[in-house]
Amino acid sequence: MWGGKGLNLKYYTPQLITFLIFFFIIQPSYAIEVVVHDSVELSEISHQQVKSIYLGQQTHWPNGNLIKLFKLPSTHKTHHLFVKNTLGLYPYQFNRRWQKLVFSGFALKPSVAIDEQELLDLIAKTPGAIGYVENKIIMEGVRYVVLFDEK
Amino acid sequence: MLCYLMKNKWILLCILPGIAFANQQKDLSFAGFASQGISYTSENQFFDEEDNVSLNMTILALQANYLFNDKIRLSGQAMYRNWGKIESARIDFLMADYQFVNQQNFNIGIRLGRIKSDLGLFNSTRDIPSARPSIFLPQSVYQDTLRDTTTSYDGISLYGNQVFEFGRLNWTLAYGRYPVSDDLSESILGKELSGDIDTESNAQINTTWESASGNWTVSLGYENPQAYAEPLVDMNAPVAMEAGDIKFDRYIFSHQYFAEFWDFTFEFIYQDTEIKGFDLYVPNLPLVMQPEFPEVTTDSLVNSGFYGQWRYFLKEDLILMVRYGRYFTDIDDKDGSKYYQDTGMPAFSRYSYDLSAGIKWKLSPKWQINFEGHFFEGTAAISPTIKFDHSQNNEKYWQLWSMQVSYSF
Repeated sequence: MWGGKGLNLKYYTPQLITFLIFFFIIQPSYAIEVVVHDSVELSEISHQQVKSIYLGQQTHWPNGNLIKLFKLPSTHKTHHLFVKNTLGLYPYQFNRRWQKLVFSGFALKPSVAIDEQELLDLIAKTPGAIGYVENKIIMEGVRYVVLFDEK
Repeated sequence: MLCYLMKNKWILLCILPGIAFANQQKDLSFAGFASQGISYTSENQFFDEEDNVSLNMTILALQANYLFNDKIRLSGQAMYRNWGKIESARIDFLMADYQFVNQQNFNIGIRLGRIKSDLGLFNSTRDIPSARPSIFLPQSVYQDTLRDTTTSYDGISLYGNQVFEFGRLNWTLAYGRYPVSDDLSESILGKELSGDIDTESNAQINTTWESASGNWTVSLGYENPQAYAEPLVDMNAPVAMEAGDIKFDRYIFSHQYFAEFWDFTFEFIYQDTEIKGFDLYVPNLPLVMQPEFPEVTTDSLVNSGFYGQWRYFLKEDLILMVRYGRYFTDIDDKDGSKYYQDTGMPAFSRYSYDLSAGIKWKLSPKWQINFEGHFFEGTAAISPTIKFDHSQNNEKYWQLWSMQVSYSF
């Protein structure tokens, strides 16, 4: 492959393009998108606030409206990514905390959607809803909020 | 069991769905679980007094959550529990929750009603198989003999959390009274001297600090429950006991560290117990002829205990646990020798060491099986606070083996 006539870039062009597409387009899409119902007055949200919401510590939006919490099944890949990267917890920590919250009555358990499409559909028709997806699909009724780290 | 279910306590919980259905609301949700276990005790009477092998390990719970409106959430849980010697049906919690400050970095709320105690890591879920590390919680910190003064209180609590750059703080301030059942009187007074027992309101403060990375937490909690007991006087009994007061100043320190495939838990309890009254006497005998009984009254009897627990996740749903804990009834007399000199009662009734190992297998998100063994030295964790008859717990070394299947939804 590498011998004789030197490196034939032309030969490698498709691979190179595939790699670039993967690196710049597919790779960023692995990031988690936080999504809310259109009525939620929020354009950006801090990691810490998402964590407060998903640990059952914040139950209402700053304007006093109830937060409706949605999640994907515990075995879902996106859920794992969300818990690990966005919340910074191991999935078992997340599960255990919710077992404790639910059975001590300290928080209302999140509604579970079977996949990302159902999650988006539910958020679109539930005022106050929040959820997370990996694949950003623009649709009516939902809004994506920018995640930021506060300093 | 049926007769327990029929008791009017359960009607209370039915009110929640009742209101909800009447309003045609869909903001109602349920959760619950059922669990059944079997245990084998080599000696002593920690668990079931009739047999070494016991199936008296049934817990059923049903809870309902109802969003009364956008601000107030009502939440309740009823529990049937047949655990060794004790069968009970109770409202585990029934409360209104209103979070009235909701900011980006801090939240404050209030709870009113019967509220679960948040002291220590496991008091709020001590009966919940899916939310505790083992079938039997470490007795060095979570003594079943005092469970009524640790489970849930009727009162009010203010709670909140605040996010800082280097972590987050959760806090609870509570004031309430622990409702008690007959088994607390048995635990404090012993079975022969059962009687009326009542509790007074107490305060509770609990704070938990969580690191920014989320991989460790430390908590410190304090409460001061207080009970008043009046033993039944049987004039034909050889010995009777006067009424008395018992007060606890209870501190629990907790630490947890979380790694990807294992976690470590350490908890420490420091309980300063003040006992007034409870003098023993022989009924129908003139004062001058009364024999001398051991002194019960004390200004400060410090009970203390700790445990360390390591869990390893073989797979996400297969967890191994090893734990070692120690408990001392009197921190100034750890080996019980002074107690033996003073009373002639066994020294080992004043301490208890527990080495445990267990396995938890989550067959599915709903099904779970636990299996565990405990090796004990000493009987302090199973002895009533005030009791002079240790004849039923007369073995220094003993074991407890147990298996439990649970289903939660």
